[in-house]
Amino acid sequence: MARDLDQLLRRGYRFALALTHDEARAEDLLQDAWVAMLKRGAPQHAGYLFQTLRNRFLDQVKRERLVTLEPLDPAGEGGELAFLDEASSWPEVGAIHQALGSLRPLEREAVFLAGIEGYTVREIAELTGQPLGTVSSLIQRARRKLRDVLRPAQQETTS
Amino acid sequence: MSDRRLRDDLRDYYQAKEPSEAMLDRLKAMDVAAHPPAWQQLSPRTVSLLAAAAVAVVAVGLGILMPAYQSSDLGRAIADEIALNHQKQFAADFEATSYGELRRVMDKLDFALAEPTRIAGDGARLVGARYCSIQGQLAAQLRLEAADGERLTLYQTARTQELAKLGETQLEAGGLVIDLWQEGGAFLGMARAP
Repeated sequence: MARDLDQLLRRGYRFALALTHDEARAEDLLQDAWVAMLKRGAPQHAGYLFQTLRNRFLDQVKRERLVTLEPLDPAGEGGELAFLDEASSWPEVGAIHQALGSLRPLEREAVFLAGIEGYTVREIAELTGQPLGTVSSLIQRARRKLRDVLRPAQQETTS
Repeated sequence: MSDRRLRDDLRDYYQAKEPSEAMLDRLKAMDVAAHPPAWQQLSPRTVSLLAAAAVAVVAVGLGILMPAYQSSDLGRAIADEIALNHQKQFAADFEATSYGELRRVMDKLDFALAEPTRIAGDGARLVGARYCSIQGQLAAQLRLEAADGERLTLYQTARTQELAKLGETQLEAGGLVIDLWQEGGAFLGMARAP
């Protein structure tokens, strides 16, 4: 039980990190969401924690106006995980950090949920309350950005 | 190769990221406060009997097997923890200008926040607070502003038997002066510049 809680909090932290891309802010966000969940007597499972983290994050962003959250065009460009096939030959941790930093929070969120948590596009759409096309579009846009940032780094390491 | 490798690299990147142990302890402590274990729901008489038996067993065991725990070590550990947290300068989660207001909003605490008489004469103004932990025990971290603008950090946690032994003391840690004392059912620690 204690181990489950520990694992849940660690997963929550990583998701918070995917949203914020900042370790201190991720810890603050996790604490904020956790306090909110305990106050509501909410069930302690990953889906609920992720949703709470996301809602608190969006609240913070709106309050602080730190990042732009304009909606994306819902036009998808094919397989949702195709970027995993195309962005290859792989970079060091620093380059990955930098590449992820070039993504917008909702793009990082989609990449994290698909690639790390193993969610399908439909599951991401349900969790985040976004249309399927928007989720696909987020992933596609993330793919382009990752490719743009990582290609120079990749060339440097191979030359 | 790319598919698997990118996936692995992203996974490695995120798996290497861990929240601090202090943060995990703090969140787990909040969970315990919100969901007390079943033994806490037993009748007071049953708890008293079980506690007395447990204390007797532990006291005998400790007397034979372990050296006495030094209160001074605990005071030092707390002072170090307070200094570290003070330097992190976390933002307050709850804005409040009165202790009554804080008691109302910080309802996960398992003790009553004390309005410290010891610093009442300093003219320090309460700014806000957040949950934290001291030695793994649920605590409140209060931000105050002294009359001269100095930022003070006041910590409060439940005054357990172990903490009660510490009495009143002043220590130096991380270039700060840390005062430890007790008021009511609370154990308090305050960090300020020397």
